[in-house]
Amino acid sequence: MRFYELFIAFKYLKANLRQSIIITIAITIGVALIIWIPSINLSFFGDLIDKSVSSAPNITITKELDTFKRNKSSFDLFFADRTLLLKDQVQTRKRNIKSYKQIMNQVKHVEQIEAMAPFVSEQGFIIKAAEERGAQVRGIIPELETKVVDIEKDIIRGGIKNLGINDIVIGVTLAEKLNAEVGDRVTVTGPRGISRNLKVIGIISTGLRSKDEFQVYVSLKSGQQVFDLGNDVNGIGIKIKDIYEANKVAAELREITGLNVDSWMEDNKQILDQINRFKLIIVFINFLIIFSAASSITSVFIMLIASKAKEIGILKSMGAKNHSVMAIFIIQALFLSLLAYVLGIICAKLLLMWYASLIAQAGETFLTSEVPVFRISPQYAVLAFFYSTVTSILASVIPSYQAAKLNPVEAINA
Amino acid sequence: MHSGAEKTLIKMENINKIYKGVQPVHALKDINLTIRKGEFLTIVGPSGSGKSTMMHVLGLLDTPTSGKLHYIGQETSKWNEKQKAEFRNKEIGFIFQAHLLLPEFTALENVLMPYYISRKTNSKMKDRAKEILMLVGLSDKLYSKPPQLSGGQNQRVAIARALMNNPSVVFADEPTGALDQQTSADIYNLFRKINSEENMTFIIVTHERNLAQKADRIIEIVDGKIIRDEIMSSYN
Ligand SMILES: Nc1ncnc2c1ncn2[C@@H]1O[C@H](COP(=O)(O)OP(=O)(O)O)[C@@H](O)[C@H]1O
Ligand SMILES: [Mg+2]
Repeated sequence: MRFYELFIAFKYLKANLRQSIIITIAITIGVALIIWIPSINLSFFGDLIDKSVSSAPNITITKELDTFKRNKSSFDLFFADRTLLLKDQVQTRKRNIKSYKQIMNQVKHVEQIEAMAPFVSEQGFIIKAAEERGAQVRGIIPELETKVVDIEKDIIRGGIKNLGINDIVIGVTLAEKLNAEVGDRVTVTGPRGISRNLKVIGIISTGLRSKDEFQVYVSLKSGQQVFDLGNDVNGIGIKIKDIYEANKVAAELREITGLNVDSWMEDNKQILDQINRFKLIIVFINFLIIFSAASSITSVFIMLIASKAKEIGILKSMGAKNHSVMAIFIIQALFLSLLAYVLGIICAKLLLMWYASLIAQAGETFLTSEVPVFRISPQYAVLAFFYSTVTSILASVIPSYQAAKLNPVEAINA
Repeated sequence: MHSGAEKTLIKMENINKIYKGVQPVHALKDINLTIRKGEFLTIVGPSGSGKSTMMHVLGLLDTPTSGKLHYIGQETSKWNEKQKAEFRNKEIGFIFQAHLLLPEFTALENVLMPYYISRKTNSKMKDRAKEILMLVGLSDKLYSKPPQLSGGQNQRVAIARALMNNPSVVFADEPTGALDQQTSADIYNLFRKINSEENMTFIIVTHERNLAQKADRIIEIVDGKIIRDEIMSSYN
C-alpha cells in the first residue's frame, strides 16, 4: 500500500468517532462565526454602498462659492461683475454652471472617464390632486444620464429612455404616497413658483429610502424651466471605469476645471470609515474565536494522540517511520478541518439566511427599503479556510511529533 | 540439518544497557553473543534478568548504552532512525509478551500491516496473509478484530504478523505464555517448521523448560549476564 498512513488515519477517524465529531464541531463553529459576523455587516454596508454607488454618479462636478475663494483669478474675474456678487447670496444662482458643454470638452480626455451627463438638481414639490410632497427634482438628458447612472435597472414600471419635456419618472414610495401611476399627470413646482404639468412615464425602485421616497426625474429642459435656470445646469455627473479610483480622478478634475468635484467615496465616507472601523473590531473578535477554538482542538488532539501511544509503538516496531506516524495524525486533522470548513460555510450561510429572515420580519430597515442580500464575504471565507487548516495542523503536529519521536519500547509501555 | 547456519547474522559486542533514572538499572552487562543465520535459539532466565531488554536491543527497538551490535557485518549504531525502521520492517519480526495488535483493524489487516508499511504493492500479498493465518489456525477469523478474539487467538495473529514480511529473524518474547500447552506446542512446531523450511532465525524467550529444550541453542541470563550458552546436542 503506497499510502498506508491514509488507510490508518481513516480507520482511526472512524474508530474514534466521538473525538472526530468533537473536533469537527469545534472547527465548524469557529469557521461559521469567523464568516458569519463579518458577512452580516459587510453585506449590509456593501449593499448600502452598491445601492448608493449605482444610484448616483461616481463623480459630480458642481460650482460652489469656495471654488471662487480658492481660485484668485476667477474670483477677481467674477467680482468684476457686480451683479454676480449680489446673486451669490441666492443658493440656486451660485451653483450654476453656464457652459457645461465647454467643461465636458475640457475633461473628456481624462483616462478614467466613461460617460458624462449634465444635470439640474433642486428641491421642489410634486402635486397630485390634494397630495403634495417635497422631492429632489433631477433634470436630465436621458440618453446621457442613463450612461452615467444605470437608472433603467431600477425601473419597475414604464421607462425612462423616452423622458420628454412633458414627462416625469418618480420613486416608488413617492408614487404610492401621491397615489400616482404610470399615465397619471402630476404637477412639479419650483421654489419660484414656476410649475409644469407632467405625465408619469416610469416608476423607479432603488432600495434606497432617500431615492424611492424623494427622487423624481424630469427632462433637463423642464428642470431648467421650473427652477428658472435658463440654459444653466447645476452640475455634471461622471461615471468612471474603476470606482475606487474616484478620489484620484476627482482631484484631477478639480485641477483641470477649478470647480467643486465630489466623488462617491467622499460622499460615502462615513460608511467607508464605518466599514474600516468594523474590520478592526472583527480582527479582534476573530482572534478570540480562533484562539479559543484552537486551544480546545489542541487539547482534544493531545488526548487523542496520547491515547494512541501504544499503537504508535506497535507501528514503529513494525518499521513505521516517524514522519509516517505524524502523517497519520495530521491527515486526520486535515480531513476533519476540511470537513468542518464545508460544514462551517453551510452553517454561516444558514445563519445569514436566518438573520435575513429576522430583518425581514422586523419589517422596516432604516437606510435601505429592502432587506439587503446577505452574502458570505469571500475575504472572510478565505480567512476561515486558513484558520481551519492551520489550527488543525498546528494542533496535531506538536503532539504527534512528540509521540512519534518516542522509542517504540517507551511508546508501547506508555 | 541447518545448511548455511555458519553465516553470522547478529553479533553483540560488550553490550550494556543501563536504564537511567533515580535508581539506574544495569539491565544488560557486557553481553557478547554471536547468532548465526537460521539458528533456533531460546533465552531463559528469571523474571527481571534482562531478557526483554536484550530482545529490544537486538530488535533495534531500543539502543544499548554501550557496546556494538552488528547485523550481517554492519554496525547498527551508525544507522539513523529511518534506516532502523526500514530494517525492522524488512528483516525483523517481533512477537511481544502481550499480543500488541492494533484493535481497530481486523486480524487480516493486522497481519498485512508490516507489508503495508513497506509500501510495496502486490495483489498476491493478501493471499499470503490469509495463508499465514491459516497456518496459525485462524482461517475462520480473518475479519475479526482483536477485541473479538481470545488471548490465544490474538497471539497467533501477532505471530502471523511477525512472519508476514518474511523477515530474516523473528524475536518472540514469551509468545506462548498465555496459551495452553497444546497450543504452545503447536506454535513451537510451527516455528521449527518455518525455521527449517525457510532458514528463518528464531530467538525466543520462554519460561517453559520443555519448549526451551527443543531449541538448537539455549542461552540463560541471570542478572543481566549470560551464564549459560549451550548448543543442544540433538541438533549438532
Ligand atoms: N523502561 C525501563 N526503565 C527502567 N527499568 C527497566 C525498564 N525496563 C526494564 N527495566 C528493568 O530492567 C531489568 C530487566 O528487565 P526486563 O528486561 O524486562 O527483564 P525480563 O524480561 O527478563 O523479565 C529489570 O530490573 C527491570 O525492572
Ligand atoms: Mg520480559
